[in-house]
Amino acid sequence: MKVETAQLDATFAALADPTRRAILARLARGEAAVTELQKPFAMSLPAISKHLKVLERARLITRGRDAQWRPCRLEAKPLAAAAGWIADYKRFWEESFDRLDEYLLTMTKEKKR
Amino acid sequence: MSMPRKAPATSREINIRRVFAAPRAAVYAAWTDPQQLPLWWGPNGFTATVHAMDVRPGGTWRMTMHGPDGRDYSNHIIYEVVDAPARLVYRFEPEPGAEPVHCTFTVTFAERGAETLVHLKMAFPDAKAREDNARAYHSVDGGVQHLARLAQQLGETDAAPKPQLEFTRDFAAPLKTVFAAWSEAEVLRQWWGPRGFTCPVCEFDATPGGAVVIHMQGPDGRVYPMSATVAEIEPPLRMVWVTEPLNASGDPMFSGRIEMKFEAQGERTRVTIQIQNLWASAEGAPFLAGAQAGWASMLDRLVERFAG
Repeated sequence: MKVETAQLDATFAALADPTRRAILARLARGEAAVTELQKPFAMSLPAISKHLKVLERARLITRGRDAQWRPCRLEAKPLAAAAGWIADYKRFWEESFDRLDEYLLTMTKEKKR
Repeated sequence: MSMPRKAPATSREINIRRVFAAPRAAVYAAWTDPQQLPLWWGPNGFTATVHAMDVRPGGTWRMTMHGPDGRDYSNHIIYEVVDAPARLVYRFEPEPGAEPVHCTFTVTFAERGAETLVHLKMAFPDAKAREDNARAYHSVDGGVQHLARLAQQLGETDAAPKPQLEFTRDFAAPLKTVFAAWSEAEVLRQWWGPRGFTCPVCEFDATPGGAVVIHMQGPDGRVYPMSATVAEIEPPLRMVWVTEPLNASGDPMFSGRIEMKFEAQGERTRVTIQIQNLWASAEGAPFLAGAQAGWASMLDRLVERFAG
């Protein structure tokens, strides 16, 4: 399994901030303008723009070309890679548990014989 | 190639490490400056009063540590090696009227790029003394908290405990059998890790303060080394490890406290694993971020929605 580590770093760094995660959660419901993204947060427009720039650099979002209305859009690919990482962590324990389960079954069968 | 299956050689020691996002000189200063030291010294809930601190070989360091229960611990320490800013060796001198603690600390401060790796080694006269100390004083968790407080003192805002991950499974075997599968190296190595993985190295000293070394090998041949310290062990009910996945140079990349609980359910046994992430170096941060439970499910939902 090969993952692009630099991209993953950027994804996780971008996701480390609760405001940015909230922005992504909003964008999961559909594209939105900056002013709309600003509404739920007690934050200035420049502060929100800063967060959007981080998300854009991490390629988690893209911005529309229209100079007047530059809607933000969620990009799924880097998120899928990040989720892959989490799945790995889960997989470690789930599969270790499976293997222990099998080991214990063999042990009990041997004893009964 | 089969590896020798020896017990870890560091059995009279407790080893705790942490990578700090601060220059070495700053970390060393926090450890040796009598003004700074009381601001962070000791496990959670402790405060310290420094009476004398002569940081020279043969110099004396006298300090009272005030426990959260109101108890005072008088410390008389002699510096043996002072090699600023790389290394300190100091030993505890028995105090009249107090329980004697025979322990020598070696603290190394190593530069790792812009970061500093601190290795705190507590050496006792023998393995039994190490075990007794770890059990009586919870020295492993205490050492971890000590270094976490230092990280806060050095300005790491990230030093607070992170959300926990939890995994539970019921096994069709009695409590003692299941606990043995977790606490005996020869059994542990047979099931540890995802499918297709093996454990060419699995050494395990199942005592308080004991060392664990596991090298996991993937189907592609890649080796994932990890060292850990047993913080608590109460057979057959509970075990706590402080784990350190290592990079290719053998340095810790991040650390997690793994608590394992074993509960009898008739003839079956319920195992609950709780993972608390403690810290990460710049190199280890992406690994830990991936293991953060708080937003993991949100991420899953996001991806489900957009992966199509």
